[in-house]
Amino acid sequence: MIRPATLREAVAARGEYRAGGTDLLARRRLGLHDGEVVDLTHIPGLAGIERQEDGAVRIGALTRIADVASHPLVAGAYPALANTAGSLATPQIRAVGTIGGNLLQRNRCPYYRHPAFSCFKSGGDGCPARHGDHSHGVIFDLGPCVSPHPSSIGAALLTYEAGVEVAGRGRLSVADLFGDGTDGRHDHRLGPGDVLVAVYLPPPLEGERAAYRRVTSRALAEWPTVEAVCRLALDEENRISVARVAVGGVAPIPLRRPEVEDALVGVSASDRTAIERAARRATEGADPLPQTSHKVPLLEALVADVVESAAAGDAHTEAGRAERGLPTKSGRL
Amino acid sequence: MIIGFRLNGQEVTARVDHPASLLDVLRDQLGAYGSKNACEQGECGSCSVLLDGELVCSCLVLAADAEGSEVTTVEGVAPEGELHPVQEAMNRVGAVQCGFCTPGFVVAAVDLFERNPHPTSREIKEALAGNICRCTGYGAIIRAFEELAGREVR
Ligand SMILES: Cc1cc2nc3c(=O)[nH]c(=O)nc-3n(C[C@H](O)[C@H](O)[C@H](O)COP(=O)(O)OP(=O)(O)OC[C@H]3O[C@@H](n4cnc5c(N)ncnc54)[C@H](O)[C@@H]3O)c2cc1C
Ligand code: SF4
Ligand code: FES
Ligand code: FES
Repeated sequence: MIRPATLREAVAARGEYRAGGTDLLARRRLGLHDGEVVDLTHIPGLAGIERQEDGAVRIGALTRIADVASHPLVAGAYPALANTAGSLATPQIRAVGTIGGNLLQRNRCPYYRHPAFSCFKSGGDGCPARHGDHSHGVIFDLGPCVSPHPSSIGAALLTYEAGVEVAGRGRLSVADLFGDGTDGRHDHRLGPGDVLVAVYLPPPLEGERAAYRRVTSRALAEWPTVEAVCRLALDEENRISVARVAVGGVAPIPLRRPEVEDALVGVSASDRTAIERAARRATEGADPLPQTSHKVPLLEALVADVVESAAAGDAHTEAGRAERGLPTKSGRL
Repeated sequence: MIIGFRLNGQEVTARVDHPASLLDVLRDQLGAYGSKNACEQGECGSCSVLLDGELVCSCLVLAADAEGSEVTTVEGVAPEGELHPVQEAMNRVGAVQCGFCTPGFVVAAVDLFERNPHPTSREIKEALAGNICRCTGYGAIIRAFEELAGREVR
């Protein structure tokens, strides 16, 4: 294991980076990785949350997920990000896993994670899931790999139009970090020597509101079947003036849904019928696999739900969060 | 590399030659078998320990991270020969069947009651979400801690 003390040393080191290590160590246990580990945790300045002079908020890549969920700067101005961070995985994982590791974690496909199978993601050729069990798979079949991207935080950051800073490469949008989903081999577009340094959240809009929702097969701790994030600004007449919607669990990348965003603009925040109509456009262009058609109605309903929840602003009150099963402050989530 | 840390109040050292997990070192080198090894994937919580007071899965934490810190395992939640109120609550209600998950639940619940002596049912479930039990169906476990939440813990 290499333990660089500076960013420069980390960039020069060869091996797989380790932040919280919750994904990397799990893969090592499965025999998917036995190479060199480059530990980033001894480099100063990579963790922490602060407001910049221009009003943007900088979150260091090694900031723990639990801290993203509970930090007042995030919970106050970027509540959908805080809720996403507080809803994913388990208390034990959130205490160790980092925001950078969440974005760059490898795929959760059971074939990829099983040493007996080889596929595009593990360096082979072919996708056993496409012809086998892909009930966890995508409905937007954008490339050769049919497993959904694992990062919940990725979807939240798309709605906030966040950027990331990569050592030596400068700023990249979160959308560029993930690409267009046609590359079946990688889960993100960083390569050897690319150290993710920080995430930048642009200043919030006046009076904006947001929400995060997920569908799971178990009340807590389970990976989402589908998930959705929505961020809205309303005009004086309570009509939606800005909408940002992104979804997860349905594509090889966290996916923004501009079709829904366009359809929401001008809609009254209390017009459920119009919101539901707009939400149905979340599946426009979807091409479900034989075993994933159940995700089509799930996604449409969830998007309607997350938009209504954002419009009602109830993700911003403790009572609203408890009601919707979102973590509350007292739970230190 | 030789690492040193405090395990349940006692100074210990261990040799780590590869990116070993804290769980490996606890069980294979330090004879602390209370923390269980079930999935090594962060899914079950049976390896839960407190690392400087923070609830973590020791299977996914590098042993090297423990250097200089305080690690509390189920063996250390109460003085020798005594039970922590969390353990007494589980005993009272019979919240144990095979017992494999129990050390993880005990450590997670000790952490919860340290922070919040009177958690609601929802807070109990959130705090224990990272721990899986294959036997009890959780009913008795949740009940034990609901009961405890209604009493004065410390
Ligand atoms: C039971 C369970 C449920 C879960 N549910 C969810 C869920 O619902 N949603 C979700 O999003 N996640 C979920 N996760 C995954 C969890 O969020 C990730 O394991 C965690 O975020 C990874 O962060 P880390 O810091 O531990 O990453 P690491 O394991 O340290 O790293 C992951 C990858 O990113 C790379 N990397 C990390 N940091 C950097 C950096 N700064 N620069 C360059 N490369 C870097 C590493 O090289 C590695 O390839 C779940 C995990 C478990 C165990
Ligand atoms: S879905 Fe992706 S990760 Fe799973 S087997 Fe196919 S190529 Fe591999
Ligand atoms: S053994 Fe660590 S979570 Fe299961
Ligand atoms: S008592 Fe058997 S796993 Fe919980």
